[in-house]
Amino acid sequence: MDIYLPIAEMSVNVLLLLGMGAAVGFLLGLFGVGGGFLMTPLLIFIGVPPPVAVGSEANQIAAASVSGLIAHWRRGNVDFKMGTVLLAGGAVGSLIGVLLFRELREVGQIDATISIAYVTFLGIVGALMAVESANTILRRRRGAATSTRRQHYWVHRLPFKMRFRRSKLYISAIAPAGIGLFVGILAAIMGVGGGFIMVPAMIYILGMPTSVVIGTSLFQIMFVTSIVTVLHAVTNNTVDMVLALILLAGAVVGAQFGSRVGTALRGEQLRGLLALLVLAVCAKLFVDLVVEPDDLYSVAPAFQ
Amino acid sequence: MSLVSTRSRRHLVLMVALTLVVGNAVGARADYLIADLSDHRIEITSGFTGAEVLLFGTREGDGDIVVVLRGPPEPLVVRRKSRTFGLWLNRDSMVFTDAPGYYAVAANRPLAEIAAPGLLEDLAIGFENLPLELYDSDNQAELATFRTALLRNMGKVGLYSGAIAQIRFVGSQLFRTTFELPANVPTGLYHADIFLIDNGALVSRRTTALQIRKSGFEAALSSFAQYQPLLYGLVAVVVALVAGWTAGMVFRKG
Repeated sequence: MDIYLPIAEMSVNVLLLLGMGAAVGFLLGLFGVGGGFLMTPLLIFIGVPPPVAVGSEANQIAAASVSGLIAHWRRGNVDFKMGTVLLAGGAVGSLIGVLLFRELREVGQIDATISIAYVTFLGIVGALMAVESANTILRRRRGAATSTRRQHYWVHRLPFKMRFRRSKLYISAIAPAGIGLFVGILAAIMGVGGGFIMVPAMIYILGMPTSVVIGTSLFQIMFVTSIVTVLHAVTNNTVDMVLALILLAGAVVGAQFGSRVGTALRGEQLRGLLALLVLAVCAKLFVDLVVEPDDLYSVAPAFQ
Repeated sequence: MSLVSTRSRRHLVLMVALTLVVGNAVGARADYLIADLSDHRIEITSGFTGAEVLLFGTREGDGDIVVVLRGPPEPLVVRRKSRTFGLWLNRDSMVFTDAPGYYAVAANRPLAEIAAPGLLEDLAIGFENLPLELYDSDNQAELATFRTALLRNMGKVGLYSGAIAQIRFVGSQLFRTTFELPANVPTGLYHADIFLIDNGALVSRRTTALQIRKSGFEAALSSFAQYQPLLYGLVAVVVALVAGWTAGMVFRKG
């Protein structure tokens, strides 16, 4: 059963899209992160033009983050003040990202940029997660106690300090705004929410308590991906609403199963699995960049 | 005065019409060519997976039939990757200002047997005779390579067909052929040129048009996205947020 995607201007099997949505939703439910940074490469693998994959995936992430955000908000796990500072940076970052995206698209370097960004960040995050989970598993085998240590030295020396009651922090607003800005740029160029960068940054750089990290990052992600969607629609015309909604339908169902399976597995095993998956996607993109392509030439509509 | 002038004008029209009829009757043996497409409008809807158009016609007497189906012209850029810091990145590029969005040729026998290269070139029949203008005409040195790359890449996605499609005769006068339009056909106005070539000389030609456009929900959505991008973006966000919220509600209760 094929469906014609009006913005991507291609015909795709709707069951394939639902299946991809379900698979990525399953992982999202299982690990709590990983919607966009797996879905965007998958869409590119099946032939969706990379700019459309990025724009539509931002739209889908906005939808996917709503219910999670509401659940965390009900439990009081959202630091709205911190979220707003992150969002302020994110809004500026997404504008920079979308403009950069348009420039790169015009000079024919956007596909390569998206791939390089994915290889870099998937590589770093995947390797860190693999090492961390392997260490935890080894330590558990040896029976040693796991220690959690917060590190935030240089953040305390920056000016413009603000009090974030919910996070029990008195730190400079520059740090969260800077993190938000960086994640906003990534969201616009890679079609990701950026949770995989933001969550570790909130814990290890800002020193936020883990209880409010997920809810607060979802707050930032929902608004930033919404902004990115509108900006991509305006500057690049690359948001396919039909594609986003089909993926969402699959993801919603997949996420329910994922979260059920997730409760039955241990955290470090989950992170180890996710790390392997992330590294596999990273490897595939890396190979596509370094192996000589079958055809060195490609054709695209010209911008004049 | 005005009455006379009207009458003489009417006279003239009548004479011209008569001459045309007589002229046609005299030249009818070789000149007679009629062709049409099975569809003049193809609508792209949500279930669109490509289409097949049938071209049929009739000709009087002998002669070969060649048909060229051409999509709307659009500027296309051809880029070449080269190894940069170990990565294969786009480096050189060339812009063709009015490459047809679709190109296919059909004939009843090999083109080389039908006409001399000169005539095929004049009529722009065949891959090698496709007129492709360069945006920046300075770079002529590598034109051939980029041109071939354009033809090859458009062929790969089914938009250009290098192979000549077969025109079949039904009896001695009726002919028919089909063109495959893939799901990714560009929208716009297509032209089918039908040539009747006898003993290597062009005897007659006809042109018929084909309109391909998005229709229904797809058309509405894509023109909305194109002409009101800000509103489209906002609607996309609101729809997504409501859908996401609804989905969350459904599964919380369930």
